[in-house]
Amino acid sequence: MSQDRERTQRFAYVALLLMGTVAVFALIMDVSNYIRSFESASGLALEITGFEIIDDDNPRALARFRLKNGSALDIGVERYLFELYLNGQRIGSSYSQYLGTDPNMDPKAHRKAAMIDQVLMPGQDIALEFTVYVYDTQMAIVRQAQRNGSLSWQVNAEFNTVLPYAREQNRITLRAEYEE
Amino acid sequence: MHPKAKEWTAILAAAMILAYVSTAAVTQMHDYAFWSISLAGVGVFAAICGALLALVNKRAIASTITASAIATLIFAGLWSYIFWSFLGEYLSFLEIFISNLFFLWVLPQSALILTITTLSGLSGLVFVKAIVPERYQPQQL
Repeated sequence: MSQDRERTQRFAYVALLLMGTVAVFALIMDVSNYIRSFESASGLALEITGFEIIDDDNPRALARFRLKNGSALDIGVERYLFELYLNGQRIGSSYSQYLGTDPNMDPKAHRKAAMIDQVLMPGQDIALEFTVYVYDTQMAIVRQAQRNGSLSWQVNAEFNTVLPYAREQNRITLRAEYEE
Repeated sequence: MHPKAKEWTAILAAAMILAYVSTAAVTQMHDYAFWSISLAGVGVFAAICGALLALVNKRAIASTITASAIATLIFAGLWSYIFWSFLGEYLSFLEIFISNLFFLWVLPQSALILTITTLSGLSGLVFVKAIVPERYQPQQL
């Protein structure tokens, strides 16, 4: 084997080995990060802590939640959207607009309230409070349920999160129920 | 080092490079990859690996195809493992292999990876054989 051939072969071999070694470590790291990141998402839990119905000229429901990070990693939560159901019937959502006549009320104020923009440490929880504007037709459902005395609240919430190791946001849907 | 050992370590190193770039090229992994890459990038890396294997191994064509096949097996195995780690509570590893996830996702992606890495690898090999003077290339059997 000539010297040129031997040198070229050695160079190509070392290049392959170096890149291969880096690839092994990068592959293990990426797959591990991906799995751990998604496992942490399943550690997020939503709990409804209370409801308050304010039945006046501007009917609304004050919903209180608790979001807990039960995973072993930090999870960034940016904002959330949710839909509220009573006995399986849709009552309102975080998209519901303020329909009152108070000129001082900003109709979009509640959307700002849906921002969290916090990083939840492992085991940390955060209390959330949200005012849902309930339209008249849906308020009739609430009044009917209050008369019957059977109030079973359900919340479907979609959280925009930044999972550990991820560069982009992920949407995580959580459900919670509350019996009065 | 024994020539056979050298030949196989080169093939395995190329396979690991291709397995990594293939995994990082998959959409789901983009956000998490140390360095994400497109399918065109996979082709470029496969061509580089084919070119390097052509300079290291005497049976370069067989080496390039073997490296692509091993990389595809690693890719399919890793994604099956990822799905199993998410669904392990509900499905056994065997059930993952006969599920839609495997047949409709892992298998088509693997076929795509195998095609790209093999064709690009062989292109890189042919390129090197064409432009590098014979005195720099390994002696054929």
